[in-house]
Amino acid sequence: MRRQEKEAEKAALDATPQVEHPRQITIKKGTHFDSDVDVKDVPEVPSRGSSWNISRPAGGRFLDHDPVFSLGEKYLFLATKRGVHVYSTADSLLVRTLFANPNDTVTSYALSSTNPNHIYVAHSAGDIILWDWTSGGEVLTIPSKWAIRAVTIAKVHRTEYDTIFTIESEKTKNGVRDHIVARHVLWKAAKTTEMSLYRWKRDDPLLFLKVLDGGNVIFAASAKELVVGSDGHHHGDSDDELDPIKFKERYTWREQPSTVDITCLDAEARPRHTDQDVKRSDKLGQMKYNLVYGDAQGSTYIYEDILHKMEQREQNKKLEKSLKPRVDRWHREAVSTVKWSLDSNYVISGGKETVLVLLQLETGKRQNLPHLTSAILSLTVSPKGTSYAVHLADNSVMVLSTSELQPKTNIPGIQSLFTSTTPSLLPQVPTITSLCQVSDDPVDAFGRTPAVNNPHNPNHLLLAVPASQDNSVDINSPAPAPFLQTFDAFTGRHVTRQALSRNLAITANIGPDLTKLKEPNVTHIQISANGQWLSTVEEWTPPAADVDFTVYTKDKVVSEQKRRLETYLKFWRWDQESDQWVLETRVDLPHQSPNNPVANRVFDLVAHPRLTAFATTGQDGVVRLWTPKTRLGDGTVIRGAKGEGAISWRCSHSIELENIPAVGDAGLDFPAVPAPTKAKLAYSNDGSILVATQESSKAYEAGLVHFFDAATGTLKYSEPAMYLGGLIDIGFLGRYFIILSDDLRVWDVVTNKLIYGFKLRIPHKLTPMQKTAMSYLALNVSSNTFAIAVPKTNAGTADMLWGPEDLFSTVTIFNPARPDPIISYDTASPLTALVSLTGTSGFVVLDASAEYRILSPKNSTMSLSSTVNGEPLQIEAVKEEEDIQMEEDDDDAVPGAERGDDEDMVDLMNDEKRVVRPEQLAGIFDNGPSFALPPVHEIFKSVVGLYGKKATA
Amino acid sequence: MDVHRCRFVPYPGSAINALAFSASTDEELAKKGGYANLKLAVGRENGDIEIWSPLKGVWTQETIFRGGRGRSVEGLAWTQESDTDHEGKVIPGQLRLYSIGYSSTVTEWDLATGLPIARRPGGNHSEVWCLTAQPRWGNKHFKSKDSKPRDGEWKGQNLVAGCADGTLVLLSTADNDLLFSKFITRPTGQKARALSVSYKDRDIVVAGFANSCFRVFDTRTSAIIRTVSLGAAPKGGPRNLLVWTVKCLPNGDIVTGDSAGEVRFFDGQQYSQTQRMKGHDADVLDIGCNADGSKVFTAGMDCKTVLFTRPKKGRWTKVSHKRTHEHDIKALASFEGDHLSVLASGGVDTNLTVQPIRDYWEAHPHIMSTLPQLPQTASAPSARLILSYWNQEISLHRMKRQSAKAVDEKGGSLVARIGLHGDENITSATISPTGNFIIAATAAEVRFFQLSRRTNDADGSLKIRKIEVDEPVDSVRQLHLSPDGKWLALITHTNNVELLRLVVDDEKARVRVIPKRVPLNRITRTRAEDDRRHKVTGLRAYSRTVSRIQFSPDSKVLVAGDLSGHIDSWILEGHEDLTAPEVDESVRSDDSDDEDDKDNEDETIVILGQHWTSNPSTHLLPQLSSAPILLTFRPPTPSVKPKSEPNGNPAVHPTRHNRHPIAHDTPQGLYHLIVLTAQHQLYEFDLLQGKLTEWSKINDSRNLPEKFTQIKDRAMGCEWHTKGESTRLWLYGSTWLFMFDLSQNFPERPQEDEGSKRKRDDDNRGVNKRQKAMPVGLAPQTKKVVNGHIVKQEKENHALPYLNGTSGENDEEGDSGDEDFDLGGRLRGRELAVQQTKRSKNDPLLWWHTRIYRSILGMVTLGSRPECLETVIIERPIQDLALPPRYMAAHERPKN
Repeated sequence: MRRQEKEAEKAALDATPQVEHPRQITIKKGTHFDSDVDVKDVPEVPSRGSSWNISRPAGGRFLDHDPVFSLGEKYLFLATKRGVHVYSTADSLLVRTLFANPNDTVTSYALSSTNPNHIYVAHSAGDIILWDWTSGGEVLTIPSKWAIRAVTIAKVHRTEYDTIFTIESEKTKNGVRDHIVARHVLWKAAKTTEMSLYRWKRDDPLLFLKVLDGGNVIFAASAKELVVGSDGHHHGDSDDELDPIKFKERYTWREQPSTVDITCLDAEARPRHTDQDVKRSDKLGQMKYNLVYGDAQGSTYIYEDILHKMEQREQNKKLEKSLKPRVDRWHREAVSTVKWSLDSNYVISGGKETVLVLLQLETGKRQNLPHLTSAILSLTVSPKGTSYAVHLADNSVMVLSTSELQPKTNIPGIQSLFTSTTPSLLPQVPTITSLCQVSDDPVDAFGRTPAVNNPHNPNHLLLAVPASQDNSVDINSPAPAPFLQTFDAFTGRHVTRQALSRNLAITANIGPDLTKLKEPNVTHIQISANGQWLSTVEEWTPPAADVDFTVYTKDKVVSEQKRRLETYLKFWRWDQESDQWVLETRVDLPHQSPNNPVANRVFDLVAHPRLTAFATTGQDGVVRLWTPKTRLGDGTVIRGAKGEGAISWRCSHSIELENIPAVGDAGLDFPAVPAPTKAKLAYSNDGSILVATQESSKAYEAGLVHFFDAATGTLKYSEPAMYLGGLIDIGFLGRYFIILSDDLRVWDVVTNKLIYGFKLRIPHKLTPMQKTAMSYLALNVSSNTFAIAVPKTNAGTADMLWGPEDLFSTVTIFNPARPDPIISYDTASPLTALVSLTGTSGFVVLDASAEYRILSPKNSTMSLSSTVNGEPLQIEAVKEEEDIQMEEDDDDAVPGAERGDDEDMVDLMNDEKRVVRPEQLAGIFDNGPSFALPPVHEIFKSVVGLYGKKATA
Repeated sequence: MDVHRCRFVPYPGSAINALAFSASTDEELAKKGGYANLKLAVGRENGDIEIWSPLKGVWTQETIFRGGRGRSVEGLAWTQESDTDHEGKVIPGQLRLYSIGYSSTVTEWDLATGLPIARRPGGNHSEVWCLTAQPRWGNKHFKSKDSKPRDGEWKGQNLVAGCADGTLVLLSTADNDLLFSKFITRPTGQKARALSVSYKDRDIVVAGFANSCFRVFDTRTSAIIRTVSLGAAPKGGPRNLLVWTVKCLPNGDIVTGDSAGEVRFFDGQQYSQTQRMKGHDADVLDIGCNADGSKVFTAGMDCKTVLFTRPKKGRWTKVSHKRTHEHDIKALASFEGDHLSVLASGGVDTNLTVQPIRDYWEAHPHIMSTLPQLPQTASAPSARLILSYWNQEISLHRMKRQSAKAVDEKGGSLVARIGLHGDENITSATISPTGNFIIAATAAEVRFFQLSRRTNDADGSLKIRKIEVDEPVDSVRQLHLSPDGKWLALITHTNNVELLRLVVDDEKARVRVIPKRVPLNRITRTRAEDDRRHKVTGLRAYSRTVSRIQFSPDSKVLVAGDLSGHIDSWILEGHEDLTAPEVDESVRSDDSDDEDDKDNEDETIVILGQHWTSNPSTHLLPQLSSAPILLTFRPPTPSVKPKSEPNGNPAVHPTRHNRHPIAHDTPQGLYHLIVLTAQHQLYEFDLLQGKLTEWSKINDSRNLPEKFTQIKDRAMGCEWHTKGESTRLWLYGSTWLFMFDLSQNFPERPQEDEGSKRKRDDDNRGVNKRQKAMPVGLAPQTKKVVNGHIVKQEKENHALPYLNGTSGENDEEGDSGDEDFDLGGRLRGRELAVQQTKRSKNDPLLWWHTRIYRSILGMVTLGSRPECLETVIIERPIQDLALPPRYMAAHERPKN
């Protein structure tokens, strides 16, 4: 094996075309400058006749919206802004996507109350589209004047059709005014009647809407205030419910300010049960309405029978003014979702601290499901109450069984860095972490997602992803990424996820002084040519508050943080059996400068294109080559668990790059040793040449590039002034050496000539850090193309003030030999990753809204799979008979105990997977000492009986 | 003012183990006595029992019944004798207080003397663990439901005590005695301690035991009605649940709290469990409920007070919890009436916390410091010594002189510690102004100690020598030494004021006590006066307890105030004549003028030519609306030169007719007594004239600054400082320090007429926003919209300040009291008000205050010079208390 590799290496070296006669290194200042380099603007791409394909966007974040179950709980509806996705709960697979209009985005959706196959989807532009989700056909489009924020469907008593209740925003001169709007969907007349029930006169938007009891009671709330609309006449007998004016006049509205910031809300209607209540029910109404809401501080407030209490308080002045909530303080951070259980015995709440809490109201007992690794965003109780759908901030949705809280379904989306360009409407409490945020510039929120394509399985993207991304937390720095997500870009499906670094999955995520703990951030990922080895670089800095005490003046905090930076270079082996990457070697502080304690970052990590080897460079100005070595102990090979030789990685060569001259007075005892601010590496395609270049804040020698023999690590020659400054990335494509810096230059290294160069016109307002973070270079060897992506702002706002929402990226694909771009494409939001697909000829473009597209030549066989593209799969017509049956039961005026029994029946019929509780098993096996156990066949019978019969879950 | 902030005085707090209100509802308060009958007894671990008065929502520590070493108070109970009909008036029955400790006896306390009544109730049972009193006759909630009142049934209240071996003992309080009546249950084989006991009605008691059960007994037949088991304890702990507390609600339902932190509700008829709730993370230690039993409060080791409520005939729900303590909460007590609704709680963190029951959601708890309201500190300014005392111990610290050189040095050092023999706690201790002797009193005796500097001791520590007294003095409640160090005033437990003369031998600076006690007569107040002024209470002689005593700066006038608001004063006649016989007793008053003065019929004791007599103007002083908590004399203004005193009594010689001549030279000068009452009303009396001074007439208490009137912690003491024209009074309470310049007049605050009195209360609440908590959750106000029209809500004019508790009845009483003091008519006119508004910036400061000091144990002076008043503020913050480790919940981290 080793010999083969060596031979291959030798062959590769022999085949090296370019460095036959190493030139004498003569560094003349200003050898290649603008005078002899033709750097122009990037020419326009002829839009027609492009030979490249741009796929539809795929991936995307799930909306912060409660997931919706189909009535039989077989399907789960989740929406990204591009459309509503129908997932099967049985196998967690995508069944169908109901795409929105390309220019429109989905804001809210709700299942029809009369036809379980229909779903209403509201869009930001204002349309509500009624889909038949079983067939995937549009049924009806209901236009609206205003943008719709939330939609709820109810069947008003004594009607046979859906009534859509929405929150809509009217844009007025005084700002946005919200309305609560109701529409009757009249099938027979094929029209809708629209009426604004209530106009909200305040600036803070209405965020929550809950319609109960056939539209008799409406709960809505902004972050500061609750609005309750109730049928003042208690079901007027007249039949003119349809009359918009009458319908509007039904409601009595009460605005009730809250002393706390409302972050979530749920309400339910319960029939009054006790005899006493029934006796008084004429006076009280048949239903009581229970409200629960959560606040930004982590408390939940439970109001039972709130409407009656409000009325009572208005009538009786002597009562206490307070409505006497039941307060439950548990969550450490904001409560992001709270729900009543179906039997209203429990209140289920999920907080941003990743804990799901089930509170039994009767006994006050609390059950926690901690360490969900990522903040809970929303939660839905399934229609039968047997499961909860939990939407987490890592862009995944889990369905948990109610009895054991075991996951039954897991639907993760792509978890790459996500930056919302619109601020969150939810209230939040300033925390120490948010107050100490590093930057005020919202553009700093955009970061890079380290990503690489697995050559072993070209469909798979390996992404370093954060544990939790909550766009309602206002911190202008990208979330650290301690996890590795393997994502199939072609089927649009999550494959696996594993931890790459220390993380907070099972530990407390909050420090003793209530600061949010930060995980290490994986900054680089590279995979070896054979796909068997993965190398990662991670960084962790202690928070400023923790080093504060060590410094005398505040301005030294940053350097003190840098001094304590932890950097690890890790090498992972692909373990076929466990299907995951296994850590083999960890190198601490691989690039710690010996004479500058603050200089310890790793700037670049590259993989050898042919061999199993990696190269790194960092702030110490040294290039290190890393190779695997079978571990020896006393001359014998150390065997691993399987008898194979244990491998450890070591630094085979370390090459010092040029010293950067000291700044200031060199005569000082301790002259400031300057450290490079940026450095990049690139292997030639055959792996024979390693190119390194570094840059410092002092432009002492712009564009000095070193060419090394990759095998021996000897310097072949150095070439000055190959670029001007603002280094972003470098790469080889055959004989062409591509440098992306403030401008793009393509050199022919054989002739040492500049082939072409372009100015990139990156907006001036961006800082160098931001430019680097948002610019990308990717090379595709098989199609002999390379792609660059640079940030742009909307044309009209080039030099004016603009916000992060005006930013986007332009991806341009070139052939290195020719200066005309092949294709240029503007993404909707700035990129977080640009990945070349090895083995095929294309690029994956992943942007800050977590959507990706695949750019590929037309002749390529590759395209996104049909599921991702939304081709309708044939699913058997979902006629959920029993559900419709149930629906009819529901029409009966008396909701009683029989209904609950029916539900149980349905549950038993439908439930294919048995849930056997551990205590049931324990009841069979834990019956005493082993000698007292019943005969084996009896135990076997009981176990079979347990799994064979209907579970009593 | 130079302030030394000192925290090195190690005053240990003492945990609250028991709390008991003398009544729990309005109807239990006798109609006549009203709120004056309402007292809260606080039992502490060091054996002290404090009596607090919540009158008008102003929490005043009235007296402390001192305990002793190893006499922890573990339970308290009040009973009240049956009301009697006296000349057509209902006289409320006598209130009686009982306590238990780690012993087999139940102790009754004499409220008037503050001493336990020595009796042994008998009954050979083991240690008493819990105590409860039978509900009062006529309490409608606790009537026996299953039987009619029997003929000749006793209408008093018996006591039931639960013992360590599981016995329940019925003690009879009949005939003003405390006697063992019978065993309700005998010790069982299981040896289960009776941990808690509660009366369900007048005949049925419920007792919680340490073996996971509670039992229901009929006290008439001593039969077990039911044993209810709470089931097994949760795994991982001890096998048995401890039923720490049981409480019977007014409707007969039973609530239990156990060591698993669970609160269970049982039906009062069937004794079946109706609900079981996880109330606390750790043991539940006490349960309280409101008057109608719709709210239940539980408290326990997790420092939380949890509220359970129930709608009418609904289910109980755990509503919310508040964390008002830093450590285990051991006791709860509640009172709910029309004008006051309050839940008091106390525990290991030694603070007494009160919070309103009715406005539970809208008010902050009021946390009262554990430190005594009558400071247990004293100082000897010339020797720069500070004395403080607690339990059986006295410590003396010397404050260093502050200099620019030694700023960093510790300000004080311990120079002496005295531990008294015997078990009794020190009731009072004081030090002479020159620092050469200490006097300490316990319930058993008064001791005198001579202090002297050790020779060749660089530390400056003191040598202590006991001074032998010829005639031992016993049983003293309070000591007060005159500023010249010659007279020692004693308040005996029988509430008499007596004086002792101390003589300092010149040669060795030894102190000698002249073995003759001079009793001073207090004016007997008639019953009619009590009736008129203060309503008849069930407290009897307790209200005559002398709570404060004070000498004038020249030591010639002595005043004493009692809890009923009366002030007595005495003056010293004659001049000191060292040549005169030390003790000269005249049996008969020979002066014809004095014949009608009945007080002087007794013997007059002349000591060194001086004798004390009652101030003839004493009877002119009015009864104050509440007990005086501060008596102090305005210092003489420098302009008034002291009259030169003759040496001895020149014109007094014994003659044949008059063998015991008495000098009648009355003290000269102005004796202006400043009185601050428990309601923080400030008065100034001219003692010799027996009327309000001009200043006091102008400066009505209602004109005191708002910052002062809204203070809830009561004043503890004061210091004077005269500087130029200004006469500054520095007042302090446990959390505040206030300065008034009494040489100036306060600006008049607008006063409302009677009609808007209620509004005034609301205004006070409005201003006092910091005191009022925001309601949690939804705000109280609603905007209602019907058909697009806003429905106007009537402005709500409601909510009595339940905690502040200004009751209508008492309010009027207080106001009428004010009018009584307008002896000279009101001077304040419009002109004065105009003058006040013209105050310019250059005028001296009228008042000033700060709240930076936390939990002030006392403020003592180190001497006053015209330019500077040097004081020491002794702080004792709660975090400095050495508390035992407490229960930590899973999410908590220990602080440091």
